[in-house]
Amino acid sequence: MITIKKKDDIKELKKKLAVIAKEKEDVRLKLVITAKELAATASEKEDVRRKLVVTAKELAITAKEKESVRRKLVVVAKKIAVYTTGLEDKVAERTAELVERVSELESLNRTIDIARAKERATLLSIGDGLFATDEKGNIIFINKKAEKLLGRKSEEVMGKVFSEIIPMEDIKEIPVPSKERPINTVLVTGTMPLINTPYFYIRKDKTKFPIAITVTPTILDGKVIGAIEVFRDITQEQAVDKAKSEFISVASHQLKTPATAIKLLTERLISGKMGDFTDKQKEYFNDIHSSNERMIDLVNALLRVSRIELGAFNIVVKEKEPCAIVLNILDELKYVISKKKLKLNIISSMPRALLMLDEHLFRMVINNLLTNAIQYTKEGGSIQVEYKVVNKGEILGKKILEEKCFVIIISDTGYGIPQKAQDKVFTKFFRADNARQKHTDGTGLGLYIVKSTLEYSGGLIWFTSRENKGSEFYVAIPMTGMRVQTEKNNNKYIKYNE
Amino acid sequence: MNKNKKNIILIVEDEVIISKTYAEELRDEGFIVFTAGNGKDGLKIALLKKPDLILLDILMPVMDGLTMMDKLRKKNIYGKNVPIVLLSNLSSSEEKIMKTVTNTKNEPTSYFVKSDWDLDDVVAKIKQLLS
Repeated sequence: MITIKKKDDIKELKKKLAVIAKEKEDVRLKLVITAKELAATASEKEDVRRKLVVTAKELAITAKEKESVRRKLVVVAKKIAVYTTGLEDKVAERTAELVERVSELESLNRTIDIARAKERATLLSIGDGLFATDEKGNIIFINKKAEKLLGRKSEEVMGKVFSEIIPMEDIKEIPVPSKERPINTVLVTGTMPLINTPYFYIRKDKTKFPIAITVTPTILDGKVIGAIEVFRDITQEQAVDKAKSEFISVASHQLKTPATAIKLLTERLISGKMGDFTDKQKEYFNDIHSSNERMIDLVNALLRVSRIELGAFNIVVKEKEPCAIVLNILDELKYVISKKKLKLNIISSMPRALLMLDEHLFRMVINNLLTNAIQYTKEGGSIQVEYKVVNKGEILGKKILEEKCFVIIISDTGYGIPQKAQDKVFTKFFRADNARQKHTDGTGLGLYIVKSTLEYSGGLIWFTSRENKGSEFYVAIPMTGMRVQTEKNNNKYIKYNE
Repeated sequence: MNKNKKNIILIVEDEVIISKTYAEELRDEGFIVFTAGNGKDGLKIALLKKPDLILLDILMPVMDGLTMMDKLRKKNIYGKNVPIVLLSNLSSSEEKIMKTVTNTKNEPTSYFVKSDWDLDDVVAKIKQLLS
């Protein structure tokens, strides 16, 4: 408290008050400044805060991203973990499999080794000569028998070109050119060529021997990788064949000579050139003649049969016109045909066809069938001869042809073959009752010979027939021609259509 | 057949009866006939008498028919061109015969199986070959 005592004192007070006021003003100014400074600080702070907020937001975003990356990493890590585990399992599994495989292969190898050893032993000891070549025709194997037959040692020929090291000749003693050698045909075409001429192998010492050959291609994945040839020395067989056919030939000659003499003499007697005879004498001469003719027929037929059965049967094929041969046979028979007043009808869907035929055998077959048709058809009846090419799969006379064939159909309006005799018609010496009545002098060998001949030459015969209506005989010869059949396997070509 | 001059035929056949019968038949038909019993004699007579046609058997002693034919065909122009009818009872599928007959396209050779041919047929064939 200020105590006022005098005027000076008031002045003093006044002074003091002014100082205080000034001080107060100073303070106020200072406060204003401070306030301003505070305000400025606050604004700065606000800025910083704002910046902080922005930074915080940015941090939050970064954190989020980090989190997502982390999550992804976790997923990947998990996957890797799973994969690694699977891989290990698989490796283990595969390893086990491989181990098993290896042991399988080992046992397989063993089996193969055993099989090879067996095969080798078999091939080595096989009774026929055997060669194996690679795809170029180089010898990769020769067996003991081949070594022996050819007078060669395995080490001399192994790896050499087969067709060069082992010379081959044909029947005319001409060396067979390399590309015509069966083994090379097989290597090139993959199929065994049809060998119908005898071949000879030349030994090391230049001597030779006839052979029978079979060549088989070795095929892997559809490609020819080599060939195997098996051959046999057929010297002995040829000698036996020769003896057989000589026997037949001589027997044929000897049996037929006396019959021929009787034939000629009776023909002279019957001709009337020897003077006149009584009717009874003429009758007897005729009887002798016809009996003798039957004997000749029988001898001929028997010789054919023995030829067939001994296999002394040559098939010599040449390109021939079957139609022309048939017409020629018909021409030879025209006298008997007109004598019996038979109508002859020829149907041809092909005027000219060429076929590999043994003309002699073909003639014999057709002649036989035509003669039967004439003999077993009554006067005034008719005979029809038809020839055509029939395709594989076509049906003819109740049969399906399994090969393209040239077919001759000989039909008649004759006595026919009774149902119960039909399955016996081709048997030796069989004659149906009705045939026996109409013609007493048949041998019962004709159709047997015809069927056997066709079977041996790759053809076929069959028929359809109704008693008292007539018969149709079908002869089929493959378009590839007649050929020697090693087996009677006609069903290969044609089967019953049932 | 030449009317003015009789044709000469040579029969070479070892079977006496067969040879005789052919000979007599052919003489009746107006031919001059010589016979021989084997290929060797046949060849001699053929070259000497130059027959217009030869009937020749195949299987014969001393020399067979195919050998005789071969020798005759190679001998001279006459031998090459004379018609020969081979008559035998060997079956005609015999390779050897067929080979001989088919290999002689330029030479007049026929082949018949004796027992299959009537005397008349043989005579007709001979006349046809000589006409």
